[in-house]
Amino acid sequence: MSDPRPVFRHIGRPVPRQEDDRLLRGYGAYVDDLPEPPGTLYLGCVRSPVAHARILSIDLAEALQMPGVVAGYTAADLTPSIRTMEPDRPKPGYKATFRDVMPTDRVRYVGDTVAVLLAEDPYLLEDALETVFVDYEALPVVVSIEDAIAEGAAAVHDDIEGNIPFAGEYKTEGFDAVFASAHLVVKDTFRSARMAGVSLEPRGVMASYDKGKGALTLWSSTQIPHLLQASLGELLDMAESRIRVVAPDVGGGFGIKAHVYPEEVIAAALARRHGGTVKWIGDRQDDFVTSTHARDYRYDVEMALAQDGTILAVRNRLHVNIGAYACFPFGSSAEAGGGAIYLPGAYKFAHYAYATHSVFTNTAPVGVYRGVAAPIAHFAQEGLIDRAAAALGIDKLEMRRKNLVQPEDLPFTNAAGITSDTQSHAACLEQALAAIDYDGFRRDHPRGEIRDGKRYGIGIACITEHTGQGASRYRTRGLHRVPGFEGATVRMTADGRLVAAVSQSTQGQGHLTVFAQIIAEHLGIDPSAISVEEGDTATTPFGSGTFASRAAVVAGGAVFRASEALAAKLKRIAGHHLEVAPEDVELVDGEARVAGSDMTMSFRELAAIAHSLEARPLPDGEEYGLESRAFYDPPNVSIANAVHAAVVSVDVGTGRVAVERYAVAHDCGRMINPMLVAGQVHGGVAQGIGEALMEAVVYDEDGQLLTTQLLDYLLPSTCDIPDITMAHIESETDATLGGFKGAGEGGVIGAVPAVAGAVNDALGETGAFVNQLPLRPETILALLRPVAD
Amino acid sequence: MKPKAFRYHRPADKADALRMLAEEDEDARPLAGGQSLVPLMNLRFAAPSALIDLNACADLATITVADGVLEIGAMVRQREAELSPVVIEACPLVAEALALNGHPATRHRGTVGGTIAHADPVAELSGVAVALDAEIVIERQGGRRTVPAADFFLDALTTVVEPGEMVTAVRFPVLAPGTVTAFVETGMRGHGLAVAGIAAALRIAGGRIDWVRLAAIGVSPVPVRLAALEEALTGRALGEVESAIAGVADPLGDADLLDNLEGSSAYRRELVPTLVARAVRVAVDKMGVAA
Ligand SMILES: Cc1cc2nc3c(=O)[nH]c(=O)nc-3n(C[C@H](O)[C@H](O)[C@H](O)COP(=O)(O)OP(=O)(O)OC[C@H]3O[C@@H](n4cnc5c(N)ncnc54)[C@H](O)[C@@H]3O)c2cc1C
Repeated sequence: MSDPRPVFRHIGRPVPRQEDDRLLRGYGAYVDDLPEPPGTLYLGCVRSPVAHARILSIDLAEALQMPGVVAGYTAADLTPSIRTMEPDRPKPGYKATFRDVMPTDRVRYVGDTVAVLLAEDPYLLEDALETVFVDYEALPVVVSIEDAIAEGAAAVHDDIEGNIPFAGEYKTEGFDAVFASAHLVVKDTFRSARMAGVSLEPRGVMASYDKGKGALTLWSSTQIPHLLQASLGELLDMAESRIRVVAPDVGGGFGIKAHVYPEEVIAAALARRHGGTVKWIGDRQDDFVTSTHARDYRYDVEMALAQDGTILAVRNRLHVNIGAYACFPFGSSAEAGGGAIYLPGAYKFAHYAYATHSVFTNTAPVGVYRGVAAPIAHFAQEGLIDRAAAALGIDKLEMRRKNLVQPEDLPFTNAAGITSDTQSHAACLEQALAAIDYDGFRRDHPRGEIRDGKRYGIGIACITEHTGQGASRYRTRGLHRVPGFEGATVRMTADGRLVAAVSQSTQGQGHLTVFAQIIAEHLGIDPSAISVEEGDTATTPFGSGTFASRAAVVAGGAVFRASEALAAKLKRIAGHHLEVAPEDVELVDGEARVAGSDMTMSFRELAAIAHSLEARPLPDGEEYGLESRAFYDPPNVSIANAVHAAVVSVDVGTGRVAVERYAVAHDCGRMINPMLVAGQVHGGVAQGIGEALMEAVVYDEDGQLLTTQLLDYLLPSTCDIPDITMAHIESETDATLGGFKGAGEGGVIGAVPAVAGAVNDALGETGAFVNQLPLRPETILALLRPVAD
Repeated sequence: MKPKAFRYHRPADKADALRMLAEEDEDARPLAGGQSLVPLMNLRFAAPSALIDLNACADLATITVADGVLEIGAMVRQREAELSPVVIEACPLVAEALALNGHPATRHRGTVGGTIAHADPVAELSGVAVALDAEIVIERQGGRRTVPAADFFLDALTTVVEPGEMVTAVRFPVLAPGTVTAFVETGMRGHGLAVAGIAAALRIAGGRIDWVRLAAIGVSPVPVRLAALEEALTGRALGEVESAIAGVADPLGDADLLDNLEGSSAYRRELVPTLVARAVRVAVDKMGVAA
């Protein structure tokens, strides 16, 4: 393999996004924009209005008489032709979990689908849905973690006793003795809100069945076209060769669309049954009620320290409310497993113990969302460091400097067993402090000062981001349905142009641009001239999909490999005809050149030769065509890192927190495109500020969802997000091809603890520390009250 | 997100609109800017039998000042009223309140009559109307009545407007020279729907508050006139404002208090004195600029 690290020409440049031109001009086509084949039927779902109940009867008679209604089905009509989803297989710690796309006997959350209608018109469909009568017999409801794990709590699934489908434990050797010897133990219970990963475009699906071919095409607003194809094959008992899944333009996903949903399966089943096209488009309310929610953690964490502030050991007892069903394909453990191992993060303490649990409740299923458990893991860890600093009388920066993994510790295996060859915490810390002007802030804002009715605080969060997880990592985590690798095909067409097909699917991240940059690097052609395609199982190689900050690392690696092989072949052909060794050929500006001479061959010429369109032969043993396919499975996990610094003001009269200034020093290894890295961080920080300050999905004690619109579920607006100053450090890892690490989630992971830390700082001598998100004004005002009086 | 079927009429002027309202059944609704009604219909929280679309009624979209009254037609866009020199001159509190209502985009569609008739508990303009004793002009075919703002709002999203009637104008008093005003609100976000807000207008004479009008939005299903605070502040020197406010034990009296996801009733109770003090300070600060 040639040395991949000469001077880079395309990797590392802020290349403008290929995607933007057509999207900004309005030429994007999301599922609901696709042309509807004649006779398209609209799918509507009758949702359970109660959180837990036995279904006694379902009366579709009136609905079936309504104008425009073509058919109606209950679970009893459909389940024989749709298999039960099985997100988890039984193994130690993991119970088998099941979900019927329509429950047969009882509903388990408000939003469970009890019946569906097909109609010729979406308006008439909604009229008809209102007439369906379902008789329920109420069952006891469990909503919170505490409800569900209480002695004698009602079981959400009869076969899961205690409502805990997954539990895991871990303890480093000698933990107890070290913990017992500590000078100080600080502890608290940290809670996130339950959240919604609101994307601009809600979910939607259109399924078409070709009776002649016995083939199904399904367009879905999904992040995982290949896994969806595999699931449809399994659940509908169809050959995958007869199923094509296409993710057209997708208006955001954030992890929420990295799950297989009942509507996708039902639409496909009904398209097959009716021999035509069935379309379901979710609206904002559907999205809040039925799309996977996120977070909903309870972290009980204890940190043991020496008198000098050295962290000795951390104990983490974690519960995750995963709602009524394990999500598919990640299963019941994704959050609880992640939350347990994210915690040691940037710090080098040697002893760690966790006990982690997933908990079923009568609420919407919880799935992966940008950052998964990491924002709250770091919220807990940084929060305890702040408490310990106060208790020991040590400056909080000093505490962090003392405990961070340092360059001389590398490669480092942390107390949770995660190894990383490169990390730059100390350097990031100093750069973030400089960027936020930490010392200047301390000078300008004496502790305890109230200026114009506001207190000010500064927060620092040192975080890690688990990116680019490979097959071995998913196997260790017990996520048996997540492959972990990605694939790419890079091809030169007969006219000398470059096209690529990647196993990913994009929701706005800029994949097409960065993959083109990687190809350009190897093939010596401007990235804007390279067409990259994603999202269609018929034309792209198999892969896992877009989630968990994996595209740049894993698919990037596959593109890297495929490009390298194609470049080598071009050099061999050119070398043959120019009568030089392939090593003496370089690919620059769309042609092959012999270094130090004026001999060249254009890509067009080389492509024509490779496609036998010129009367010139290929070298002996060379195959026709210019197509190279590669798969890449990275080693385990790549740890990116960052330090976030936030300045907040707290209005002492209203309790409202505003983020005034923000800085990030960020390290995701070699950057392919710094502009897109900054974009990922900015967007993530905005979501993190929302998570820290306002976003919350709320159920009442009967399991009724109170936040079903954007009026109730508050997202930050541009007025809530300050300018973000960024510094980049590039600690290239040798562990991944190209030295890339992921960058998709660090923004939100850092923002939550940084903002919370800044609020702690502002609360200052009140001695109060926040432990529950979101930090809404009323909560903060209550914490301030002792001083205000 | 698909409304129920409805009939649709687009009258050319007020008389036409009143006639159509009279002819339609009692579930017909006027359609003004549509910024609230259309989302409510899409959610099927509202299912009017017919819409009388007022958007072509130019005679409902006038702003006039006469006899000490600023009269704003129901179909005047919020953005137009907010930026109108006539409004800013006669009753700046109206413009200040509208500047906090939604966003420029929603204010270009949303109307003065629409926000008053919709009677959202957090509607800024309703607070101004109650603080300043505005009058709401309500008409039906062949009839017209004028209702003081204090009597107009019955409950959240409920007013005295009867089927067949509509709001045709809102009449605000022209403020006496020297009056200073402020609208202060707080919410979960830097910009957006308020949790609570205060409309304030006052005059100072000889260093003392001579006249003051205060109303709170967002604390109760309808705007609350803060009479006890007005009384406590009248005659007070500027340095005594905070203590005068603190001296009123229960500024909200027996008003029903809202208690919802945005904040408990206790939180709202706590906000009122804070926001009133701020509103008075902001208003008084404007005197410095004016002087
Ligand atoms: C993003 C967004 C943010 C917003 N933020 C705020 C905010 O901060 N503060 C706030 O107060 N509002 C806010 N609103 C509401 C909005 O600004 C309008 O004030 C409100 O929608 C009513 O005005 P409209 O003209 O759009 O009325 P419509 O939506 O057309 O009508 C509302 C109701 O009033 C009735 N109605 C309208 N005109 C009359 C009339 N002349 N006579 C009798 N009945 C009538 C209608 O039948 C309907 O029931 C927001 C709306 C949006 C979409």
